[in-house]
Amino acid sequence: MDVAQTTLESMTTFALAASDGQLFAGRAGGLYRSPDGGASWEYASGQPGEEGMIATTSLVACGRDIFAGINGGVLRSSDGGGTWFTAALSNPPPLVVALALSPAYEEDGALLAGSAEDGIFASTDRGVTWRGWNFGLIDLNVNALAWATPSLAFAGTESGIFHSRNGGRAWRPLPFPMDLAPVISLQLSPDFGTDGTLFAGTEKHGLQVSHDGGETWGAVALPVAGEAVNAMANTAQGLALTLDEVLLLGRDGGATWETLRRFPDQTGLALLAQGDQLVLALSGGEVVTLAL
Amino acid sequence: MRIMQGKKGEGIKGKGVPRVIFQPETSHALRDGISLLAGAIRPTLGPSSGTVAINYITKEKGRPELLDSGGVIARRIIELEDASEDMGAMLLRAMVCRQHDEIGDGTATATVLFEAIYKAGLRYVAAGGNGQRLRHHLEQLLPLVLGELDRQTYAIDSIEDYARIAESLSHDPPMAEMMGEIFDVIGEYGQLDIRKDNTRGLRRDYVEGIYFNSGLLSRVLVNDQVVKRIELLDTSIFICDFTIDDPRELFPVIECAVDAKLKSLVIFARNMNEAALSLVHAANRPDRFQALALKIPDPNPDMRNAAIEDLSVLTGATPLLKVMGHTLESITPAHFGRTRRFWATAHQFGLHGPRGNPRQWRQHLLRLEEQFRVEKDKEQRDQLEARIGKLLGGSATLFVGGSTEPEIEVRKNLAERAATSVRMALREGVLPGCGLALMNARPALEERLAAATEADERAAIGILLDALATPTRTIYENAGYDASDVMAKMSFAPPGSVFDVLSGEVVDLQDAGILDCATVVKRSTRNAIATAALALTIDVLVHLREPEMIGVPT
Repeated sequence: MDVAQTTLESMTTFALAASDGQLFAGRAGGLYRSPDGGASWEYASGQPGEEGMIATTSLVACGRDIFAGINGGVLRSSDGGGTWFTAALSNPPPLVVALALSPAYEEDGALLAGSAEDGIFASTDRGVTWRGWNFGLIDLNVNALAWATPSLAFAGTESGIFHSRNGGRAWRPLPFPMDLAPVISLQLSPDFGTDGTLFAGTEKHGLQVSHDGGETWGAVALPVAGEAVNAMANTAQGLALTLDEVLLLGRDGGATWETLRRFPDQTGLALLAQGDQLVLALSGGEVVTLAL
Repeated sequence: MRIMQGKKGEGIKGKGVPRVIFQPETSHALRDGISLLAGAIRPTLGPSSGTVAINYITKEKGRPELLDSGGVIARRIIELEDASEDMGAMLLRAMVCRQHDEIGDGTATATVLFEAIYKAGLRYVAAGGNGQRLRHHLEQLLPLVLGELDRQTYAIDSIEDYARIAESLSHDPPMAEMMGEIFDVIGEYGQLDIRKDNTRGLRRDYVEGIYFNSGLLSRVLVNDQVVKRIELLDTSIFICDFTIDDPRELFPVIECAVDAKLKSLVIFARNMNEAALSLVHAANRPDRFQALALKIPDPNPDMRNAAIEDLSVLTGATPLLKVMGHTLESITPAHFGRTRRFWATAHQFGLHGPRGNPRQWRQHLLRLEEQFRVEKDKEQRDQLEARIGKLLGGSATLFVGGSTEPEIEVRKNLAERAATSVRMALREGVLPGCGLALMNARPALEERLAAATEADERAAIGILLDALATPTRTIYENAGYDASDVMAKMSFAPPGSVFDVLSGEVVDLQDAGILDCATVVKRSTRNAIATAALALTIDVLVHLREPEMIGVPT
């Protein structure tokens, strides 16, 4: 099943993204890229020797536009990672742990950045300028973002889930049980527009699901016991997720589950679906590519 | 009719002997008084309503006051010349003022409903009907009517809906559009300041963060001399309700902060004297430790406690309270809260990214919202609304401009009323507008009429059947249409249609978005039916004394 397995030294990889035929990895030591599908890696966002200076905690890409969340701002490249610019968000500098592109990004150029202590920042000019959009967000510890339609977005936080119906301009809490929080990952069903399905990965209580856009929630029965759902990704076969040290694949909208792989003593931190392949970043620094 | 600004009873001195009035003079006098006041309010109902000009009694050469709010008109009319008619007018006035105070809108609807029920009821009683029984049946029918209004109520959840509600009250499309956007952001509890502006148009601004109206006690640390403002990053917060008169009381606080290696500390106290403030200033060490002192918001004890509670929840601080027997000597690092950014001026301070427990913050808000839902007292509700709005982490400001000062004033008042209306619509939903919701309640009454056998009950149902059509008829008449013609035309219109008095066309209700705030319609219906039913039982008027005006020109 494995296609490739490479190790990015021993530094934790928090996020993965693909753009312009390259694979990008956001890691504690900075932003790295691989032109050969993960076989080799190079430092992407600065001069050699700067490695280790800027921890990169989140990544998103659309076409040749790539955005990387760092401590204090957002790195952006509009030429597939050739050149990078830094946008500062606010003072004191926030740690950007989640990024989400508008579903209509190519037209509206909008994206959201979720931070560990300072809430959500928004840009409507492809990441050039940012401003805090936290009206009603009464939990500023944002862990995950998901953007369903140009107007509807979700934010997973320390105390639950918030949603915005005006493209992130204002937020309202959803009735997600507070005792199941923190919510550390969010994934929308590919058919969210029709089935209203939203998956929420929690830190201690596994996977939760809502089939009505977040109004009611229930636990998903997974084939193995576990606590933290760190990452999720929609693949052609179904929803892939990491539950502690296990990689699972849910088919039929999460009705049936199979265990794809187990990685003893390691936790899956980031997932990226690429065609019929799945790229997985492990807490030990490994980046594993699996064929589905 | 005597009109003035001020409270009823001002300038009145009693004299003379008691006078007792019996039927039929009682009913005639009450009816005439009610008609007079209702006639002054009736023109303000509907989107094509008129205004009422009222002269200032103490300002003879000034321009008259132009009013389009039934509540304000009623407040301005404080006494009729005829003492018995005055009693009728004051019955209606009290009801209108209650509606205005509680809801702020729906006074004209309540007035025309009240008048229609009272006059029809009076005719029935004059013809030999039993007033008490009529009142009983009217009160019994009230839940049926309110139930029908409930059935038609639905929630609104889009910018367009919010704008429609705002426009139904303001008749100002640009303002309504802006109001729709604002409420889409701030929601039902959000803080909205409406201010006059020097420009000709409208503009709005959104402010992130939480701010309170209380300022710096010590201004030495102001680091922006232009705007007299200080800003601290990642600062710690200490809250107490002490009045600190002796700097020695503060030593443990400063010492604890320095020992805990805090970079900066904001001390909230009820007050501090100069000596204590000097210690705060002296504790400052450039690049090592900054301290400043602020007054706890609000001099009112209840609101002060509320502010302490809110600040504690937001920042995660544990306050030391004199009323709890705490002393400042008992301070530990655990008492300090934190915020990512703090700013203060002489009059305000604000927090960005307060670092309290988000779960407690959310639970605190839920508790306040629950209190708001059950609270009946308007002042308490307003205070709770302001607290909740503050805790939501942002505010909006609508700047209202215009060509002249009076235009700005009128537009600002309209904006305030429209904002209240949208808030209520967000909380309790909306109904078909143009009086249609009341018209739609009539089939249920007709069903009840078919089953009713007692004459008084049938009379009560008949009275309500006619009265519930009155607001719609009045809206048509105020817009210059022949109400009977339009009503006849509407009887052939498809269900869900409404006559748009602005365009003069029959339109689909949903498409046209002609809506009323459910709370307004329900409360005006309740007030009108209950008060009119009670008024119908009045048989005798007693004038204890003849009023005589003193010190006011007649």
